[in-house]
Amino acid sequence: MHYLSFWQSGLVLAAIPVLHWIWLRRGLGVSGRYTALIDRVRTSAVPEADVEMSEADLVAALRAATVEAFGEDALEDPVAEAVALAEPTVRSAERPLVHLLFFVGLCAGGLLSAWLRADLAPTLGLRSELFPRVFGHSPLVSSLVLIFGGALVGFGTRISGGCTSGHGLCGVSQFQKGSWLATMAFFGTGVATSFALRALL
Amino acid sequence: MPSKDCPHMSACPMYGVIKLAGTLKVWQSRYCQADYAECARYKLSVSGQSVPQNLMPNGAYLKQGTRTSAVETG
Repeated sequence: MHYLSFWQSGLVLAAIPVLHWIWLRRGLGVSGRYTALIDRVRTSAVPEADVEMSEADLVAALRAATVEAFGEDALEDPVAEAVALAEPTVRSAERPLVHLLFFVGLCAGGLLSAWLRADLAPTLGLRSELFPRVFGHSPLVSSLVLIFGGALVGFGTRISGGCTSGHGLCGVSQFQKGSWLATMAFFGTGVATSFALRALL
Repeated sequence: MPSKDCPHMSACPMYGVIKLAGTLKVWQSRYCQADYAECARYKLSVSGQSVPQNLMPNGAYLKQGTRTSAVETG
């Protein structure tokens, strides 16, 4: 399989969150959008407007919403506040359709890329050297392994407050310590696992 | 020059909370005393509908038990 060179991939990956920010004024993050979409669907059965809150809860929730809309620094930093004020497109609550479009685009991009490479061949497993050697060729086993892997990724994403795109692309470029640590952890673990499997098999 | 203050400010329960918490002034400066026509609470109010307690000026709904640390990067 032919891949782009590392510097070409790096440039493309760097361009994606920058363009995303320019167009949408929000950081790129797949898990954040997924969470927002699930939250919207989950709470659609119970009208959000019915929630009654104490003043303490209201202030706590307002602080969280302030960080989400304007960034962590907006809570106390007058400079950040000034920047937020100068910013005409402060992030508003996006409709579920926007999140859905994002995911449709995500899948369409992958399909388009495979189609352009004439490499469009759906499979229930991973097309790699190691995967079939470890898990065999059974479509059922492959699917279960991938679903379990996805659940683990979701779990890790929730406890670390972001995914590979949120931490690795956006957080790292914003010099957020947590994102640097998270990226080192998941890439480090990935590389170590890969080397370990290659050595063992 | 016309005032930029929201005419609903004095009756808005959320403004009361925002005004008292210094760290939340960004909402006041962004909406209540500037672009109030864009405030979701204001828009709902002028359309004659009741305004939920937890509706934010940007159209999002506050959720009970939300913590600042729970904001997701990804």
